[in-house]
Amino acid sequence: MSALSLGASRTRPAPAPRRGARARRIRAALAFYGFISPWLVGTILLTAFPVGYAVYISFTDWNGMTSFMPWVGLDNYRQVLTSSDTLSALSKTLVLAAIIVPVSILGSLALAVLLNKRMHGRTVMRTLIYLPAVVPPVAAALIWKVIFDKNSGAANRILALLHLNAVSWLTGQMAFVAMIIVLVWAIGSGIIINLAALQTVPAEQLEAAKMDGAGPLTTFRHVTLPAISPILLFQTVLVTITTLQTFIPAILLSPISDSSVVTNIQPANDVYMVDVYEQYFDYSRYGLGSAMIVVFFVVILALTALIFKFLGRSVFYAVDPTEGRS
Amino acid sequence: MGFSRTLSRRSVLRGAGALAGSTAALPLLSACGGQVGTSSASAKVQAVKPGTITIMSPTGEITDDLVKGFEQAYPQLKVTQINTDATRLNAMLAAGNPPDVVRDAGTDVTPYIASQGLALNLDAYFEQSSVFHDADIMPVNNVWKWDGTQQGTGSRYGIAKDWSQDAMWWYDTQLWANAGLAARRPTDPITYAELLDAAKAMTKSSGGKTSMYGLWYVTPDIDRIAAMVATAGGKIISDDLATVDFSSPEAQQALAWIVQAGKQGLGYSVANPSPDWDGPEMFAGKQATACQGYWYTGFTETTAPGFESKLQFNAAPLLGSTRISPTFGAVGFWIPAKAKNPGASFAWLEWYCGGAGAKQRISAGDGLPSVHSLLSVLPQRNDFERAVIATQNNELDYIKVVQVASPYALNTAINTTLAKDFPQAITGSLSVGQLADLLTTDVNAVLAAGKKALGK
Repeated sequence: MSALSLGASRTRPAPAPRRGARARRIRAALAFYGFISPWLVGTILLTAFPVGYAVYISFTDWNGMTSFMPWVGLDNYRQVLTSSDTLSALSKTLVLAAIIVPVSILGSLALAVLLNKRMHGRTVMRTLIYLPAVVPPVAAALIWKVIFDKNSGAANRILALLHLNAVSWLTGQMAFVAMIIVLVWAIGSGIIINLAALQTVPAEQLEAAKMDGAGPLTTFRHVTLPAISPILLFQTVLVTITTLQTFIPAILLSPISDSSVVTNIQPANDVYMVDVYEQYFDYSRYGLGSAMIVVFFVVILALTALIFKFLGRSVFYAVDPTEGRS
Repeated sequence: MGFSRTLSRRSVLRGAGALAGSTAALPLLSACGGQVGTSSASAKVQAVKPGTITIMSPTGEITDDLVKGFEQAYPQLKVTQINTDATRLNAMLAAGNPPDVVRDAGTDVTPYIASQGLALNLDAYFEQSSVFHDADIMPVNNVWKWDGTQQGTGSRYGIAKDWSQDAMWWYDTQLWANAGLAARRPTDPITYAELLDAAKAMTKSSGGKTSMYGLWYVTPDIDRIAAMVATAGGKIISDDLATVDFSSPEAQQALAWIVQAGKQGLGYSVANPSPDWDGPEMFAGKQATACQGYWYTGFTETTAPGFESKLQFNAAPLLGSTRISPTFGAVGFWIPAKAKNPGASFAWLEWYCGGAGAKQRISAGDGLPSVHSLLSVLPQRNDFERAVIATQNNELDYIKVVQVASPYALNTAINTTLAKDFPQAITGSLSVGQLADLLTTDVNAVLAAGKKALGK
């Protein structure tokens, strides 16, 4: 840029730059809306609209087929909060989460630590342990169903070799145990996340701990664990939410028949989302089912908030997570 | 920046949420004015319009050959099939864009689809039909009738494609004889008590495993229970179809039988469900009996050729002394009230259930026809088929519509409730009397909720 032009711009500062700045702002805004519009349209049509619709339905007694939608106010919510069936399903779901979340988090962390050690066949072991995570949930549930078959399954054959009586894995209270086994079996993805987290632990800190005479347990407790704690918090939230929403194993571990699938779900596996499914598609009570979904959303939100409140304190962030907040 | 102050990212998102919410409310406002009818007047007959008809039916049931045959008979029509899916059907009905034809079980759905104005009243179509004549239509199709208060009389809302008397049963003659049981006359009904004894003799268990079940898969479905109770002169559902009562002596007798069969492990039960249905289990040599109707003839011949030489087809068992042998399905088709081309839809019903398509299927032994005139094409090519036909012909005298369906809930809802309660009596400590009370309370709650949802 020449001195002359610089001088000219100094003497005539007014309209042209304002127009230019305004044009830039408009261009920036158009670019912003252009880029977010696919997401925005998708969110409105596929998330906000269905959610709004479901909330509306929760105040009606709609049967899902006719155009008749009697307004019932808070009746459905009252039923959700007082129905012994729903509360029983909710308690089963919470028990399931109380078992699955710690077992999955601690199990995947322990296996990740083992697989992080230098040893022969490490890659093969990592592949084998991760394999269940890439098996589609439907296929996994069906494989386990064959394994747990009372009369011809592998599980009872092993028991027979040990001279033990056959167990009816898929019925009664054992159906709940079978579902837990299926859910825990697929902890491979947690292992991979933990393995990735373990790679991020600064080598110099581990080295320093070693030089200071810290043993493996002390190093793990005071160096490794704080370093990977944000990942563990993320996993805890994720596993809690997915476990609370358990549905596929409950459905697919149930024996089939020529009648409805749901009628064969064992009472022990009648978890919350199964109850919701029944209300929608067996009982045609779309209003009640929607109210159950809304209540469940609040429960999940509250649990997530509790996890953040109590576990968040123990999380060590290398970068201040509040940085940049006004 | 001025632009971002007036329309920030956050305000865009807030606006998007509000827009979505208000959009969600629009169709609902119009929906609120809807009414539920209790029955509908006969529809005016519409001619077949050229185009495509969409049939909702289980994948593979209507073969390509049959579709081709129909399209040759009606060159102006094309058939598109969509798989049976209750969720999708509900969505299509609610959106006012239903399939042109829906495959369903007449015993289970007629009161519901007719009373809620979902199904087209087909009286006028049947009156002008050149394929269906009142005298020729078999009585089983009465399950597709609804008069506003009762199933079995009134207007027609559908027709069976093929059907069976589903309380009839089959046994493996070798296993029967090996258990030391005397061969039975197929047309003489066995009692449920005798059946339990026979099943006990054929069941083989060891080490907690059962290698042979003497009895079929006993599911506590409302239509099976109602059929058992009907043979003892009782009934489950009230005259106004709004309540049930399982506490009568006849009903408790039926419940006791189902509980005993489950408790003793004589057959798969709701507490020990089968990995499959009767057919595959029987052909695999794991089950000695099957509670299936006539349609099992063709199924056995095509699925397990040779197995039929061991089978005997028998009259429906009795709990009491009244011979009643109902159908649990009368599976066929209904036409949604908002179908776009009802003339073409009815053409499908005529061709598939009474015309050339029906003839082709019925001659394969896959079920009984909807019309008397097609009874003659039932296959009688060998001793097995002739024996089956003899038993079946005798049983036709005992067909009766046993009222089980209600306009206030689909049978799926009732069966789900029964399946939840029964295990408490089979594996738990619930007595039959307590089970009867629990079933009555729980099913009545389902019916009451359905009634309330209809604003009644």
